[in-house]
Amino acid sequence: MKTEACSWRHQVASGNSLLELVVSMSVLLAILALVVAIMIYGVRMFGHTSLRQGLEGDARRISSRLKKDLALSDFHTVSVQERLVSGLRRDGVGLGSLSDWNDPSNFQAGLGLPRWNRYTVYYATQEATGRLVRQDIEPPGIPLAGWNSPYSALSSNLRDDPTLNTSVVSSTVLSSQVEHFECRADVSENTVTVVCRLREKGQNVAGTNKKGDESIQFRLLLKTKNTWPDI
Amino acid sequence: MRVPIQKGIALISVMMVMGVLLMMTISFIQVNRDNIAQVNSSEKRDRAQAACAAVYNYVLYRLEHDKTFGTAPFSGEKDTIAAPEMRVTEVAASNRLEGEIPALQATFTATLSNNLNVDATSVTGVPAHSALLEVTCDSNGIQRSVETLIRVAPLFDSSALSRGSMNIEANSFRVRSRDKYRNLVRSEGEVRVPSVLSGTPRTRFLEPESNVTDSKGMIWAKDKIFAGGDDIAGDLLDANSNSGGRFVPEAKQHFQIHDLQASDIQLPTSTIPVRAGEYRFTMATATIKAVSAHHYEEGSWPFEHREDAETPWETTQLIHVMEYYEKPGQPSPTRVFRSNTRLDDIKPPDLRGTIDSTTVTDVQIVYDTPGANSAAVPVIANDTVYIDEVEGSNKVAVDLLNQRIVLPPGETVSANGDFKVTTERGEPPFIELGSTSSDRAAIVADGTINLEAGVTGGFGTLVAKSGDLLLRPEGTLAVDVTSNGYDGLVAYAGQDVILKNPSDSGRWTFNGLVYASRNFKFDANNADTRLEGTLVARDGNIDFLKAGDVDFVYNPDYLDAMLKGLPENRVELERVYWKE
Repeated sequence: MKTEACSWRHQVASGNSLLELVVSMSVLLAILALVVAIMIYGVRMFGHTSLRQGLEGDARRISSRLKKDLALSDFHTVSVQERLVSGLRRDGVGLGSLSDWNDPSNFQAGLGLPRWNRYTVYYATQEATGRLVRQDIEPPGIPLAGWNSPYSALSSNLRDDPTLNTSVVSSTVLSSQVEHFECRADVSENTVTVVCRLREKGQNVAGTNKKGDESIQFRLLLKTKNTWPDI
Repeated sequence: MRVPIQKGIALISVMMVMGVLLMMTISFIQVNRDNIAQVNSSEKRDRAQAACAAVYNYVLYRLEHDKTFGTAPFSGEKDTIAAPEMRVTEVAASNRLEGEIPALQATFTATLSNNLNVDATSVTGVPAHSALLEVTCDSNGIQRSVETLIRVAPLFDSSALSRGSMNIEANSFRVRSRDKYRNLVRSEGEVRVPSVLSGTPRTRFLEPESNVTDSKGMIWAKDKIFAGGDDIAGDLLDANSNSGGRFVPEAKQHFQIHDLQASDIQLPTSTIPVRAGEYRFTMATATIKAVSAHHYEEGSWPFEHREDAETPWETTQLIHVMEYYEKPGQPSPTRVFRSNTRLDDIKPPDLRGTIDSTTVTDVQIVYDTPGANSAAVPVIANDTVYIDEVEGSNKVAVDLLNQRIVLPPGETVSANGDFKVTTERGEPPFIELGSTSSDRAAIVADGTINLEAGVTGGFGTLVAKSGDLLLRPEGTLAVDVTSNGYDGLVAYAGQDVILKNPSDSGRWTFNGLVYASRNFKFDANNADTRLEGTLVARDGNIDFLKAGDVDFVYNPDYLDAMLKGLPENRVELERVYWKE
């Protein structure tokens, strides 16, 4: 028993040699470094993907709202305000809308036409990184038959601080990463074209030392479904 | 002691790494699953939306081909009209349709409240002449609902419509409308209007009877628009601002011009056939035999001497006649008519004293046309002759004394061929249509109607089924469309419509509908012109020439009053709103 115990002690003592310790620590460190690198890579990849998916989500939200609002509007009420910031467009577009589609009093008696009683305005602020703002505006003095012409105060009601705009009944920021927002109402086709580019800088891209710079651009060709009489 | 610690670090490290990797994997899976779910949901939503649109188009098709569709409860039959990709069942004893569109993996329910044929709002609140359609579609659990109101559309939605070019050669051009919602001029070809870019704009969009600009006004062209000779494409904002409305050059939208048939026009049901051919008002050389009663007096009243006498005389001179040519181009007239009491164009010889009366006893017309069978043609008629096809009908009168053709009110005069009233020499005749809005007259000819040589007055309808329509209508003044009728004129031609203003002064006003299957040409004779109603050149050009100030005023009431509904319960519909 004693001999076996001494032998065991001898083996343990031999494993604790400095060389073995250095080697084992190096291996452990290498493994840890690899693990940390993988983790950092993964986190950056995840961050990058999240960044892209965030922009895609904004794009989906913007296009979905725009599509619906434009579809429900009347082309006769659509107007576009062009604005340029450092060579990039930060336009505003106004379109007639209804406060409540289920309220019969919002339709003209005898004809059934919607009495456009508000305007929905989309615009990109003119800050370095713009925000895309959607606001419902109810200008005073709604005509009996509703607004049948474009929003006359569009150009003056597109402030960088959306809370300072007048006659606002609701306001939403659909994205805070707007670089370019260009609108064009084409009466020859009865369509509204929207080109929107969202851009966001994030952490370093995985595997590089470059900062993440993700952008997404989409172009919508939208047609109003409530243009009456048809153009 | 060191050995267990080393083992613990390795285990913890591995567990930590595994944990982080697991969390990341779970997050990736979660994010991707959300994305896939979003995409799937979006696809289903799109499919449901597409299904709603398909059902809307299906119901629109059914209603346009039968405006009574859905007015009575369905009998529960399966629809065999729908395309094979769509299965539709009419739910018995209801106004509901159900079905599926397998390609879109969608089922649907549609409820139709058809009030198209009713003049009043329905009890469920559907406006007159409208139909409400509510559609709900389900695609794999995702539902979309659409509600839409459709109504009867006007056959023509503009004051002027042309598939070709439009040229308004005028001092000024004003586009107006009595429709609260539309004020349009449309053309598929080039449009040329007076200037709008420089100086005082001479093309403007205005409210009727006012100088207030009309922002809904629009000149729409699939080709270029020229104002004062300048292409306005590069200056649209200025052009719009100056005119008060909108110019839309090089439009890419499609628009259709209804192919109006002669049978679509409201006509008096009672028809009187007249002899087709040419009625030529001219002057012919004639040998006239007459007896004049005359007297001679000497001194002052009471006359010392008075002598009465009757003197027969004979002269050869030019007199007014109306020639009738049964066939176009024939060298001599089929018949010639001359009033036997007309004396204003006869110069009696110098007789002693004053002529009290003259009676024409014989007129022999001397034709200098080679081959003219003069012996067969002279007819010394009463002051009025009738040109009815049926002898003795005596409804369509020609007043030879005053050179007037008087059409019977409330009747349709029908010619089996061309109907031409021309002037070769002498005074032009007057063609009198109905005198009141409820007493309109109509001429329908299988070929051409040519009344260009005469002046046409009054209210009525002129239909040249397969030929041209040429006339010089008097400008009417008032605008009045009532339930009893309208004061305008309908001019329809299977080919060209050519109008000329008979007067070069004042203001020429045309109320009604002009429909040319090909071209429309108007010579304004330098007068101001107002055209209220609708002007259509379906497959041709519109030309306004030598005009002063031109006003187009769209008035849909004329269309309603002048046209019948489409045959076989067909109707054209337009969407009033779309709610989703």
